[in-house]
Amino acid sequence: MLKRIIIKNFKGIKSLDMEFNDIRTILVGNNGVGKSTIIEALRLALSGENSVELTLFSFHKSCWSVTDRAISNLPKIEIEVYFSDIVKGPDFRGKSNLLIEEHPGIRFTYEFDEAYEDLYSHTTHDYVPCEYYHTTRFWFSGQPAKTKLLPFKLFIIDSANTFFNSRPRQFMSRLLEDDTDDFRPKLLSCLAGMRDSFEKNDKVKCINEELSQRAGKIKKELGVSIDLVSKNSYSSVLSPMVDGIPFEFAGLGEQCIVKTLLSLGDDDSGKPRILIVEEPETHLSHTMMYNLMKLLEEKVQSQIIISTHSSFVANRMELDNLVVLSKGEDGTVYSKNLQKDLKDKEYNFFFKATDFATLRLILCKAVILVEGPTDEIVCNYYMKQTNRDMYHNGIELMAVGGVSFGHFVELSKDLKIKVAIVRDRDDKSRDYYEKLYFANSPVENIRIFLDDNNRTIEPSFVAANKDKLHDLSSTVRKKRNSNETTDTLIDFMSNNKTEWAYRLIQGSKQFEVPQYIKDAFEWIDGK
Amino acid sequence: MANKRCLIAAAGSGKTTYLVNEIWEHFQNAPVIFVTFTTTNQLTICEKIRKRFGFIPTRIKIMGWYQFLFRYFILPYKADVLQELNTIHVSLTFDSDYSRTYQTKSGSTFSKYKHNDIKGKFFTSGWRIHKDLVAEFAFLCTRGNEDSIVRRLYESADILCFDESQDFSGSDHEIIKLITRLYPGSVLFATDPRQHIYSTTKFGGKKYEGKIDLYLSEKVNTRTKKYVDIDSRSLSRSHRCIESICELASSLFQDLPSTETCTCLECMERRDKYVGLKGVFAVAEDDIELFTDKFKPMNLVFNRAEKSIVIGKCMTMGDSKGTESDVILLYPTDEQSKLLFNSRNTTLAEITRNKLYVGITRARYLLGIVFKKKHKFSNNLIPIWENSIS
Repeated sequence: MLKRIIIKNFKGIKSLDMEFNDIRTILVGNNGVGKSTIIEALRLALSGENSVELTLFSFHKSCWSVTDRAISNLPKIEIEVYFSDIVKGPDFRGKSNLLIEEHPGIRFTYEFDEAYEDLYSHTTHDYVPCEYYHTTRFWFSGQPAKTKLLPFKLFIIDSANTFFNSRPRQFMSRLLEDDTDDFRPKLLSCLAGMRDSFEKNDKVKCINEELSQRAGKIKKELGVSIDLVSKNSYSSVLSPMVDGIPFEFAGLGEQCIVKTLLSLGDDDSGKPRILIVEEPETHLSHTMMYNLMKLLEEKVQSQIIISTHSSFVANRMELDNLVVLSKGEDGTVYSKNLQKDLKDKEYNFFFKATDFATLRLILCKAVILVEGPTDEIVCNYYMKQTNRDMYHNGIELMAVGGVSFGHFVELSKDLKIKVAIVRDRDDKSRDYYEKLYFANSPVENIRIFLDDNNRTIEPSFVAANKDKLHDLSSTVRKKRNSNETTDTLIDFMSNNKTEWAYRLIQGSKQFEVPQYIKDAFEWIDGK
Repeated sequence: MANKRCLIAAAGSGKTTYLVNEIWEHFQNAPVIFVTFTTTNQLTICEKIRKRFGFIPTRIKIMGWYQFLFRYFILPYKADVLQELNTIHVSLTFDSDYSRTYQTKSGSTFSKYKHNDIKGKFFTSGWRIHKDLVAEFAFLCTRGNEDSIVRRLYESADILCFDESQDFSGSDHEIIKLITRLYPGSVLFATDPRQHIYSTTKFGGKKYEGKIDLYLSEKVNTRTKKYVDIDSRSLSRSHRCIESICELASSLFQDLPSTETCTCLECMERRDKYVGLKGVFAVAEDDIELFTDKFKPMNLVFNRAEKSIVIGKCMTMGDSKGTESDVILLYPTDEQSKLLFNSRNTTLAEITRNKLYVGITRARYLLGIVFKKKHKFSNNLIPIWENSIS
C-alpha cells in the first residue's frame, strides 16, 4: 500500500527518500537517525490528526534561522507518501508531486500562507514565521485530501500514542470514532435508549422529584440522568472491558495490548490495513513480543511497518525486510532496503538464531569479528593498551564463533561494512579461508587476519612474548613456575582458555599482542 | 455500448430534465459527471436530480466547466507544462484586472507577457489563472497525457453530460474533441445555439462559437469515423412555453427551425390547469405597476442600466438562463424594442439577440414586454395589455 516516502526539512531529517517493502518493513538505525520522525511524518501526512503540533522546532535545524526573507525561499516541511500503483481511484493519482511522475499518493506541507504576505512584510523575523504558516494536504491529483477517503485503514502505534500509555479509553474512543464503521451512531442511539429507560424508571423518577423539591429555590427541574450532551460523552460513560473487568483493572496490560493489536486485523471493512508500530520492545516484555511477532507473522495480512532497536524483532520479521537508515553530516538520511540489495540470498541462519546481535553488525561502520571470548578479551586488552576508543567511532568488536563467521561475512559483503576477521588458523592455511569466505574473489571491505605460523591464539601470544616468558607465566598462572617452557605455557593456556585472558587483563604487566591482531586494528582504523 | 450524442434543444424543451432522465434510465448505478457553465444551472440540475432520485447520489458529480478542467486536466498534470508547478497550487480568477491579454477598440489584441513565456501568459501573482485562459492551459496539460486523462475520466464516470454546451468556445473545443474521440464512456451534449450568451474564452475561432453541433460534425467526426451523433429532433419541442411565446421566440431566428410547443397530453393538461391570463402582451410604461400588482411577474432586464424603472426585484436576461416562471415581465433595450415592436428584420448583435431569446423563453404562460413612450410601435406585432384584459 505504502510504497515510498519523501521527507524534507522535518525534524531531524533534512531530506529522505525511502521505499517501503510490500509486506513488512523494519526500520533500523541508530538513535537519532530518524526512525520515529518517519513514523511521525506518516502520521501527519496520512492520519491528518492535529495531534502533532508544528512549531519552529518541527523544522530541521538548518532551517531555523531565515537569512533570505523572500516568500518563495522560506523553508517548508514537505512529506509525500506514495501509494503502490495497485491503489485505484483517479483522485489519488497525478503528477503533483516532487518526482513529477504519475502515482497515487498524498502530499503534506507546512508552508507559508500567502494570505499573510502583507503581515509578514511588516515584520523583521529572522526565524521561520510559523505564525503565518499553514498545513495543506492534497492527493497527487491536486484534489484536497480527506482522511476518511484514504484507500486503506491505518493503525499507528507509537510512543506518543495513548495505546501504550495505559490510557486504553482514549484508544477505544478512537476506534469508535472511525467513521468507516457505524459503531458510534449505534452506540449513541443505544445510550439514548438507555437514558430514556433510566429516566422512566420509577425509582429514578422518585429520586428526581425529591431532588427537585429539595432544590426548590432554583425554580428549575433538577434531577440525575445520563450525560449524553457533550460530543465524547460516551467515552466517559463507556469503559473498555476485558473479560468483564474494566481494562485498567484487568492487570493483563501487555496481553491485552497484544490481543487488541491483533484484533485490529480482524475487521472486515474491506479496506486493506497498514499497521505501524514504533519500537514494540520498549513497551513489551520479551515473551509478549515473541507472541506479538509470532502472531503478526501468521495472522496479519496487512502491510506492517515497525521501527526497532531489537535484534529479536529484526530477526523474527526476517532480515531481508530490514531498511537500514543512516544519516549524513547535512541531515540527509539514507536508506538501504536489504530486500532490494540482498536479493535472493539465504538468510535462514539469522532468522533461526534470533538472539544474535545482527543489528550490531548492521548498524556499525566497521567490525572486528573474533572467534570466542579469549580473542575478545585479548582485543580489549590491546585496546586498553593503545587507548583506542573504538565504540565511539562506530567500530564494533564481536565474538561470533567459528561456524557463524561465514554467515556474518555474507551479510557484511552486501552491507559494505568493513570487516576484520580475526581467527585461529587451526590446521588450515590462509588460502583455505580465503577460498571459504570469498570463493576466490577477494572483497575489498573484508580481510582475514591470522597467524601463519601458529594454529591458535595461545601459541601466537606466547611467541609474541617469548622474551618475557616468565612474566607471562606468572601472570596467567597466578603463581611462579620456574620450570616453565614455551610448550608447557602453551599447554596451560590452551587448557585454560578465557581464564588466562581474564588474568591477563586483570594483571598490571604489559605484554605484546600478536602481530596479526595489531594489523587488524591498524587496518580497521584505516591507517 | 458507449453512446455519444449532441442534442440540439429549444428553450424550455427540457434539456436538463432529458439528461437527468437519461441517467435515471440508463445509468442506474454508474458514476456520472454533469458539467455546466452557470451556477444557476448547477442549482437547477441539483433540483432536477433531487426531484428524480429523491436525493443527490454521491455517484453523480455536478460541477462547473472550470472545476471540471481543474480537477481532471490541470491539477494532476500541471507540472508537465511548467515543472515548478508540481508543488504549487494554482487557482482561478474571474477578475478582469488579471486578464493577461486585452483588446483595443480597433480589435487588435495585446498581451502583457513575452512570447513563449508560459508563466507570464497564464499566471498572475499568487498563481492564479484567468478564466479566459483556463481551457487553453488545460489543453497544454493534455499533451502526452491524453491516455491518462481519458483513463482518469473513465474511472471517475461512465457518462459525461455537458449541459449548455453552446457556451463552449476556443480551446474548450479542443478539450471536447479529445473527450469525444478518446473517452470510452458515453457523452451527452445538450446545446441550444440560440442561448449562447457566455463564452469562456475571449479570443479564438469565432466560427464555431456557440455552435458545438457544427464543431462536432465538422471537426470531430471525420469522413471515416463518426464519433458523435447530432440529434436535432429529441429536444425540438418546448414543454415550457405556450404557442404564442414560442412563435415570438422563433421569429428572432428566421434561419433556424422554429420552436414548437409540445402538444403531449401531459403538457396540455398542465397548461389547461393554469387559469391566469396567457399570451404575449406589450405593457406600457405607465401600466408596469398595475401589471406587477396583478400578475407578480419575474422581472428581466437586459443589463443593470434598465433597473431604474423596474418595480420590485429583477434579474438580467443572461443570468436568468436555466430558470423559469409563469409570468415574465421583460424590459428590453431600445434596440431590442425596435425588433420586437417595430420590425422583425432589425439586425441585432448575436449576444443581444440571444439574450432576448433567453428572456422571452423564461415565461411559461404570460409574457409582458415593457414599451416606452418614445418607441415606435406597430400594433400588428404584439397586442397591448390593458387592465381590462385578465
